[in-house]
Amino acid sequence: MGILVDYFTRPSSPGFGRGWQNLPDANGHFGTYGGRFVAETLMPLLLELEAAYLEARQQPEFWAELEELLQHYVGRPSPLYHAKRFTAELGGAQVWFKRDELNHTGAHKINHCLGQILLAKRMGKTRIIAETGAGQHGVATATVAALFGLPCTVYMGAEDVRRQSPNVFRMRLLGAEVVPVTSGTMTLKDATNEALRDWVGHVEDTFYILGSVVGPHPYPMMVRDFQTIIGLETRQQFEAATGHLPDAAVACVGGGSNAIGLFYGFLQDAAVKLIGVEAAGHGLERQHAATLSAGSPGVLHGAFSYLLQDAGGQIAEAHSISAGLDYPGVGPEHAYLKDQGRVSHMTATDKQALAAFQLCAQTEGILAALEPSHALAAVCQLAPTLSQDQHVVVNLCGRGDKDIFTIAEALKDSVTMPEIPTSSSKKVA
Amino acid sequence: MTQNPRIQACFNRLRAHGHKGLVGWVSAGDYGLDFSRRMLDTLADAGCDVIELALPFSDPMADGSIIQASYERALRWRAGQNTPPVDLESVLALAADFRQRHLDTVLLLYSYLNPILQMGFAEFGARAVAAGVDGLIVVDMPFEESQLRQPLANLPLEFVQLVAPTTSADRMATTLANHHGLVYAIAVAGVTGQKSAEIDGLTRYVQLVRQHTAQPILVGFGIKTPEQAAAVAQTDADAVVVASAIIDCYDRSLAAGKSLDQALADVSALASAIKAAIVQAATSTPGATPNVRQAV
Repeated sequence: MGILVDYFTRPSSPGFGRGWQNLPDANGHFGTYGGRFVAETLMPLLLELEAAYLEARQQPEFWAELEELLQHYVGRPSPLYHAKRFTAELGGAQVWFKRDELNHTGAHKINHCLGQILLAKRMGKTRIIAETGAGQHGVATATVAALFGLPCTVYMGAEDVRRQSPNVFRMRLLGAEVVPVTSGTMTLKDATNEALRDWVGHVEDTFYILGSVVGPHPYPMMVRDFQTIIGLETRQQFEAATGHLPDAAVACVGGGSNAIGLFYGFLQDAAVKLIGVEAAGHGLERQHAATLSAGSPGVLHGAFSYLLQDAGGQIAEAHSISAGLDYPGVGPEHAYLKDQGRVSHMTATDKQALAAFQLCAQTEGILAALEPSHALAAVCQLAPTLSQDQHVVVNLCGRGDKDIFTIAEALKDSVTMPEIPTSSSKKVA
Repeated sequence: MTQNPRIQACFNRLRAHGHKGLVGWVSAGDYGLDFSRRMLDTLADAGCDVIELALPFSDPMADGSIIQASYERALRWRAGQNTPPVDLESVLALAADFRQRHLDTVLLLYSYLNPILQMGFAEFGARAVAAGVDGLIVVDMPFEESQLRQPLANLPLEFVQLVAPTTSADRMATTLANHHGLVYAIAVAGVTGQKSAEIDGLTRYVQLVRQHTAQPILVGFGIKTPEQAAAVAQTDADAVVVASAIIDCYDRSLAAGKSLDQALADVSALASAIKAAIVQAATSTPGATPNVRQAV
């Protein structure tokens, strides 16, 4: 406890400000990325939100209240676990799992939802809205809205409503109204458009809880700050377990909220290699969601960042088996970290993610969500190239229960699945 | 930015006669680029002083469902094998074609930022001026990001500054202080084509905008009928924007099985009725006679 209070408000503490170049700047820019590319109607709301957040950010009480909830309601700190059988199967570097899938609601999204709703309360807002793709952020938002007794409307693409019906039901059980969005591709980007429209139309009472480090300033900064807990804990836990820092930290990147959270624990430690893993879908030459690896800079949803687009600047459709990575944009700070060379990127196809999912399930007894299964797939490529005295931390940012029907369908169709070990042929390290 | 002579002439003419202008709307490529070409002519002939020519965008987060549906139709439209895609290129060609026939009608290009960014502001500016475009509305580029449009600074292409009901007086003072082009006052806090402004509040709001600028003020969002347009014409606004209602008009006609010609005739009737209501309202309002303001 106190890790966020120290980090944000105690300059004398050794845990203060393990950040990166004090970004963004006053207009929300990370180098050339970021910014606030929104309609004028929204600008005053963003300025009001930014002012309220910057004020709250300096208050130890704000962070203490958040940490109290993170500890007793979410169950933090999430464990750091040495995955010995997974390690043994790969036969290289030691693999460690940051177990954020054990959080209440089953993913890391609850971290930034609690932070944002505490801010909503401070600002006197009485109605919550959110967008959601897979439904994890929607469930987390519905959860905190129930906890704080505020009415909640979640926008979700009609296609995602169909694909992720269990999460739709969970949100409704939590008292939220789920609005299917039938415009555009009927997925996350369209749900985001619709949530922004709702906000523009209800400026007085409504707080928009955004689900990733995307969108206009101050969201990428604010959501990042609330997710920093992942990296701060991981750093502390890893040092306590081994006496040193890991050689690499790996996380999947869709919008990039869990990845930025993990990376912020290690950005100042140049020796720690940081790797973001994007969804290559059916392959980079076909349909994918690998925005940083195969996209180009442009403006979507209020920020200048990398995105998938055609030559005329229309936003292209993304594809990933993981609904949480199925987004044609990415957080602007990730774009900046890529250009700076501080973070490198790998990709994993649908099939590689499925294989890694199965390996993890059968060696460690953990059903990871399809999103972190992409990070696990990258670790499957990376670990064998490293020695056994090197260490890789991967963020298991969500649990896979929500994905079991998608996985069942995919495994049935997949004739070229790599062989999965049925019993351990190697000794556990 | 230098001032655009066509915009100056248009609003000087309106103000000299105590008239208010009508701003029409074309979603480029909706029901095909050729229909848009005819729609531009129709609106100009029906009395539109200004036309917003909109480049469709895949993610129009500031617009309502009617405009978004028109964009989706336009981006999907492939009537013939030789139909070019609806992009900045074809929309500028549409503008250039219109300009050959209509010398007085002000043409404003309405777009989201990304398509322009991909072409680059310098190239876009030169080509837009060559195509006879007079002004530019970029809905998702607020004052804070205005450094991006520096390449337009010395072109006769006016950047239209948006203000909204959420814009505070302080912010209005900042954004309009050094602005020498048109001002677009968004009438309601919301997206296009949905709720309509309540007129007393709108009158006070436009008065507030007027306190901060002598430039022509266009008022839009949620104005659908001749009556609503007439009410807006009695405020300090210089022109009234009608957009979603135009799309809704031809889309309903076409959905009811009418021909393209009939749909254009229906739009012409709507625009003419709105124009007549605006002219009558403005000239019958004591405060709006050749009064008030010096010419632009």
